[in-house]
Amino acid sequence: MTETRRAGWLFVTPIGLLYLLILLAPLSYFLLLSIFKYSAFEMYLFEPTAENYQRLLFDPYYRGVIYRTLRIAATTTVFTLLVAYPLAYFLARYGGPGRGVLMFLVIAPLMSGVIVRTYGWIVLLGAEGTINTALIWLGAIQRPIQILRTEFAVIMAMVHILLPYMVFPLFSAIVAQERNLEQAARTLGASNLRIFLEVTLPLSRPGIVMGSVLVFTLTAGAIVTPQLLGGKEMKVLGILIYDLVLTTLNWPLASAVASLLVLLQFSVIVLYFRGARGRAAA
Amino acid sequence: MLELHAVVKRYGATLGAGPIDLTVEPGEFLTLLGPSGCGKTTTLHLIAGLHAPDEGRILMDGTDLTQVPPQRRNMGVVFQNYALFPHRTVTENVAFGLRMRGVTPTEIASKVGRMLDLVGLPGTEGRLPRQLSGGQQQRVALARALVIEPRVLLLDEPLSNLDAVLRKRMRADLRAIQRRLGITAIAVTHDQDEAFEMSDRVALMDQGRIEQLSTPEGLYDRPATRFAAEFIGEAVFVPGRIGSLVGGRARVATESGLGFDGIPCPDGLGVGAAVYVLIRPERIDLILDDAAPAGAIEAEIVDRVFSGEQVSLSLRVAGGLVLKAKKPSLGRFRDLAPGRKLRLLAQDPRLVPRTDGAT
Ligand SMILES: Nc1ncnc2c1ncn2[C@@H]1O[C@H](COP(=O)(O)OP(=O)(O)O)[C@@H](O)[C@H]1O
Ligand SMILES: [Mg+2]
Repeated sequence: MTETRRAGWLFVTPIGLLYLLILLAPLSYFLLLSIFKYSAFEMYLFEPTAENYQRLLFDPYYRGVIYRTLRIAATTTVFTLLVAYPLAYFLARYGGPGRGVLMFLVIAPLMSGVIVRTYGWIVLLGAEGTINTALIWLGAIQRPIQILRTEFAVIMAMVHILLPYMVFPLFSAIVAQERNLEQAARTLGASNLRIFLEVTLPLSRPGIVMGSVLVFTLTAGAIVTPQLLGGKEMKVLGILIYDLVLTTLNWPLASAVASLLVLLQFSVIVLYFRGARGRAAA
Repeated sequence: MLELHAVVKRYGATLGAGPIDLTVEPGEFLTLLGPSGCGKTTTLHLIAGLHAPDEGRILMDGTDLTQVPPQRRNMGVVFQNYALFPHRTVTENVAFGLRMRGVTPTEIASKVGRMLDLVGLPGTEGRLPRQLSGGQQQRVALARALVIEPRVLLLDEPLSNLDAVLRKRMRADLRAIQRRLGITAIAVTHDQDEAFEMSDRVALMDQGRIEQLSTPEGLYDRPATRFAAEFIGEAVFVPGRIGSLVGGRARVATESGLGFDGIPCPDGLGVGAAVYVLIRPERIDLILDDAAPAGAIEAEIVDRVFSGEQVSLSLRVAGGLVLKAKKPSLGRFRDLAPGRKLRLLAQDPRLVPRTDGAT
């Protein structure tokens, strides 16, 4: 083993131990718990069973929660991408003054907590919120419309909250592209649209993958925003775990939900990166 | 025929290039030669349409191209860093321009195949640019620019990223391919050897303008300015004044007391004009025996540098002036040592106008 490799391992070791401790330990704990039998009196019995998973996958209620979580995560990812791409492109290509300020504006939301930003959306979307008041004032509607407690509200807020996680990977991918690739395409006869579709967009792929993975997994595991903007009826996997752990005290089922969520997130990550690598090598 | 009429490009307050007047003949290989930052790339991009000129017009075979966007100019550009699409294979890179033109897949396949043969790259079709050597990438860039059958091939420092050996070979290959296709080519370089070896004509640029446009021989033999004489080859400049003019030939008295007679006088210089007498090291004859031809000057060797194929000698003559001589590495020259006294004869001295501080 060379000196530099040994030094490399030294650097990685503390992080590695930390990971083991805070990630693998609880992970194994609830993976194990998820195959134990639930007991109302003793929390769980040391009896291996598949019934937690069966319930989760075949009970229409839980299935609904799984579908809803995936739907919200996927929709949020798509819309975040659509909003973030032009923004990232502009940030990457605009050299003039004010770029620093714009960058700051994109990062700024990260500095306030999720709860603060979610409350901001409640103020905007509520029955007496800014949007309804404005629409009534404009005469577009007679009575406040229901925006809070819809999936739409949750998705809109998630797009806003997670926007920086999409913008920055995209920004790096676009900024890294040689500018004269576009010039070359132009001299070869490509229109602006063709240049975008054939050069700029494919070369943004690493950013798209990274940003989408971040936004998807963060949305799929979100609790606060769906809770506050989606209302009591709109359960997602994160809230479900929360309820099962703290209210119902069914830890084995909660562990099964958690395992499923981690599995879903992990598969999305693997699929995305596999896809990205496959295309790049083709 | 490509024509630039008084073309100027500014980047805000800084001048990029111009005013430039230039006519490039069909089938000609013309090189823009000049130091870094003199506006070569800018000029090339103006021709390609990647910059719009602030002033002036660009014509191709009589039609005005000034407002035509690059995607409709049909110019083949080889960029300095090649600008190959990193996510596309060699074939896809070369096919790109044809696809944009709506050429059928079968025709694309045959054209791309022929072009890869021409530039000497068979067998690399399925590879990505990063799997190729610098020389191969350069050839892909060339193939991609040529396959669209452009009206003009534009090459920005095409060989500057290659190692010395490869560069020499590519000069010859580039020239051969250009001749074979009979295409008009404009290259950009800061390397004089490269410019001279590849080109029919060389436009020497300085500070955005074309200082002199000529064949390599013309540029070497008759530099119009001190800048041109210094940029091309080596030279010693001896300041002096024209004493008399007879039949276009000047007699010059130099400040160091040397006299030169019968130097061809460039247009626009008259008796009394401040000039430099330009003496090229490889055009100095050394007289090692007792012969004393007319015009021979007494000299003493003060320094000697041996570089293998030649020896460079510094020779002090009357008035403390030091001339340089380069001689092939033959016995009688390489054994010359400092301190040796001899006579020299400056062949083909030239005059260039002297504008710095002398009136
Ligand atoms: N995009 C640009 N913005 C501002 N100035 C530029 C730009 N491109 C080139 N210049 C300036 O224009 C001049 C000519 O540049 P360029 O054409 O690239 O020179 P060359 O190719 O001969 O080295 C230089 O002074 C350079 O600094
Ligand atoms: Mg340049």
